[in-house]
Amino acid sequence: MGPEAMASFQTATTAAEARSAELRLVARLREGDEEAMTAIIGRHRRRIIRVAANALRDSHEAEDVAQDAFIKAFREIHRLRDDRAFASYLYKICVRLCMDRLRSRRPEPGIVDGAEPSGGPGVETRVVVERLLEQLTPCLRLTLVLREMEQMSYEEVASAMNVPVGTVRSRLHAARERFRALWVEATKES
Amino acid sequence: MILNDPCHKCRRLRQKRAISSLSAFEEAWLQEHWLACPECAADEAADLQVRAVLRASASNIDASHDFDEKLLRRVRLDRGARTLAYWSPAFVGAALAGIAALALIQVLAFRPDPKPAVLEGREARRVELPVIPDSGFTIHR
Ligand SMILES: [Zn+2]
Repeated sequence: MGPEAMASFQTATTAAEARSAELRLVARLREGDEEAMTAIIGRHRRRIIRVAANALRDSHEAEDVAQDAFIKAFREIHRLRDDRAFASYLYKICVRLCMDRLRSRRPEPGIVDGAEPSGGPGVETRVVVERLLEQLTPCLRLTLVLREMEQMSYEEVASAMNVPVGTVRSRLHAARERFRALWVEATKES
Repeated sequence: MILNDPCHKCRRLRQKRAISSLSAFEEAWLQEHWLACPECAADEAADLQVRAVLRASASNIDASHDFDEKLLRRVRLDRGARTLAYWSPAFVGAALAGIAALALIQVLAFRPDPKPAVLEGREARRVELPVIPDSGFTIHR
């Protein structure tokens, strides 16, 4: 076995081990095991907060939503039919909660969150992106965020938003077009 | 004619690519068109640039230091509240049953004697009231 084949074999083995560890944790979670809860929080915490932060563009609100998502997922674990789908079940709950928050928000200029790290594009670009995202409908905004920022596949976005893949593709197309028009307008102004 | 316009075909294929997928032949046609047409190439580049801006603007925050602690506290509270909500109808039912049982015991223990009281040799009598002497006052109504 060559070094590349060895590396890919090791990656596959690690992924398989991680999946079976998650299955064991979910089984214990069903029994109400608090240690399993802590381990599950540790596994998904970062990504759930990031999804919420990208959707809501507010780190405090993102933490609130992430906590609500975990609590709801634990409370309604009996609704999960297949333990292997725990992650997508959790993201679905998180996306639904983000959607509710976005819908309840009054349209206003983007929230500028000073707690964002300053790596990557300049703060000004981030602020512009936030302001433009605020101008998209919650559905278009979440689709764009999950696909472009979270780099989810079409299938993952469809599962998280509980819509068919075709709907994701058409929403994404509309969201990109709208965002691009807004971006062109905003960058022309400056 | 618009149908023969390669730039129109380019836009149509890009739209098709967005909502479904392109064949290898269509992909190759696009690549070739972009080499020959600076306007369409610039349009595609602008699309890619906007997507790159979005990707680069993605938040990368991590949880605050007490996230897990706060969450576990909330999970415990939630479980406690649900346990209480689950058992409270039973508690209320048990309490009501207890009160009803006590009331029944009270009624049975202090029930009046069912035999009627015999008032031997006692009957209502007319009693002569003492006559109060006239005080001299008259009450006018
Ligand atoms: Zn062209």
